[in-house]
Amino acid sequence: MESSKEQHLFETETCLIILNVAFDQYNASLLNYFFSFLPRLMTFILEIKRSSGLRFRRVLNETPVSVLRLPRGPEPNSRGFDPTSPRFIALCPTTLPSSSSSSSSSGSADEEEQRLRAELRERFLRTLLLMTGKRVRFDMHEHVRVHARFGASDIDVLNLQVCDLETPLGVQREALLRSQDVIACSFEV
Amino acid sequence: MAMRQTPLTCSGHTRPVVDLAFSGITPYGYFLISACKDGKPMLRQGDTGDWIGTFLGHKGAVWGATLNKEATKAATAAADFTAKVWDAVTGDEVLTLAHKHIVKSVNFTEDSTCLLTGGNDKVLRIYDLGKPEAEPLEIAGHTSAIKKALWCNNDQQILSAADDRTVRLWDKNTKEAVKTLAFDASVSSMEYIPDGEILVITYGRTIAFYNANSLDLIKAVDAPASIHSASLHPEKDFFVAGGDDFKLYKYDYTTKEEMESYKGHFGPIHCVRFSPDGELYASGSEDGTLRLWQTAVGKTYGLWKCVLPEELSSENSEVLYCPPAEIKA
Repeated sequence: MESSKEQHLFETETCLIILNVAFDQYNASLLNYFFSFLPRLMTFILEIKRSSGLRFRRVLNETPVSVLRLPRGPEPNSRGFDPTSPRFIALCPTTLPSSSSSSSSSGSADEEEQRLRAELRERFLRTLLLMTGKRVRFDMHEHVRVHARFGASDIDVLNLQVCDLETPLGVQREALLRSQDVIACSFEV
Repeated sequence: MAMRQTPLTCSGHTRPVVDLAFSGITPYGYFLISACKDGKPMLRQGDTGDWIGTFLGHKGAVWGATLNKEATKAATAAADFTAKVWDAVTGDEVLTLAHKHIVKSVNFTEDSTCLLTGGNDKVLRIYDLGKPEAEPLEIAGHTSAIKKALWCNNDQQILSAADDRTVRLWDKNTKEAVKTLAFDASVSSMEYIPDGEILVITYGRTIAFYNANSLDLIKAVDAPASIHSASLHPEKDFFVAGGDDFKLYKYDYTTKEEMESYKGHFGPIHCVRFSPDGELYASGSEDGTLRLWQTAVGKTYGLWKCVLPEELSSENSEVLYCPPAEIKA
């Protein structure tokens, strides 16, 4: 809409210039002839404009500041905090004890904690593996209890992919459950 | 040649952005945290707007967010009646502080040892982060929901703004209100500049500047529309304000004259903050986006690049992203 307005302005300006010249150089009786000539004159001007590639420039000649790229957005499947970033490596305390750690007592307590963590994590992952394809009961917030066939979870266990989710609205062939909404899940081994 | 401002849009939030805060300048640059009604506050690199991570855990809209000076800790205040403290490097939740109502504001002390919270339960609470199980120090007095609570005067005093149309200055040790400021309209935002002890308060269409120690008015400026947030440049040359008309206004601090106004957001602007180096300012809006704006338009900084006219037509131009023409207010 902006460009057609500009175009219109340009055309009007050009016509006004021509009309002024016409009035100065000829007497009033010739103006009648000139006005009948106007539509053909307009078309002629437009043809010249189009063929010569004239572009109507904005009165305010401003250039937008260039940017190298747009800011990166969030990754869809992860919560971020890249562990390979320099800041993470520099500031994050390592949970695994180094061989030359301070005191032996704190070192062994850390080792024990790490061992237990690893064991629990492994049990959790094995449970997820065992759950695939099985009919699972999900207990969720607001006393919601649904049954579905478990498919998989994503890498951060943010979402759970399920099939044949039984809801009060009917059976959903494919669905995605938010892990933060799930309180517990149980299934027959 | 005149340069037109190109704001950088940071997308990712799905609901209105209600609060944002910058960290101090760290060896890794500075960072920005945004609080959003979608319950997922995000950490971004301050100078580019690149997303770093999302803090997951809140079950309600996040109303307030802050970072400590070193950007190692983050705190958020949410409608799920909790304030949470996070590790800003790993993104893990470190602490959950339960409250009796919606929490609206959180603020770290300079040394990041204490956290101040304020919310709809009208009570200010000070938590010692070294002893999180201990009961917090409580300061009561406001007769209405607290909108913003800030540490000031070397973390010895507290400034709080509430829906009862007052701003109160409290002493941390005596827990008494030292001074009270009353307004005709509800205070929409408050910013404290430690260097210079200036307090920026917005209410109605006014942006007012007060001395943070005496609460004496320094100056007040009226804007064309209702203002939700304003921020003063670290060098106190200018200030920016945004509000209901979707525009961002830039004013000269000394002369109080409006210098520029920028259109870009598609919704009312809820928060505006200058970066710690003053090179850019960020605005959060109802449209769910954050936009970064240059203070010195055309300067090469972050993702903005100053391009000479000859370079635009050369073969290097495909490296540069030329933004689509935006309407200038």
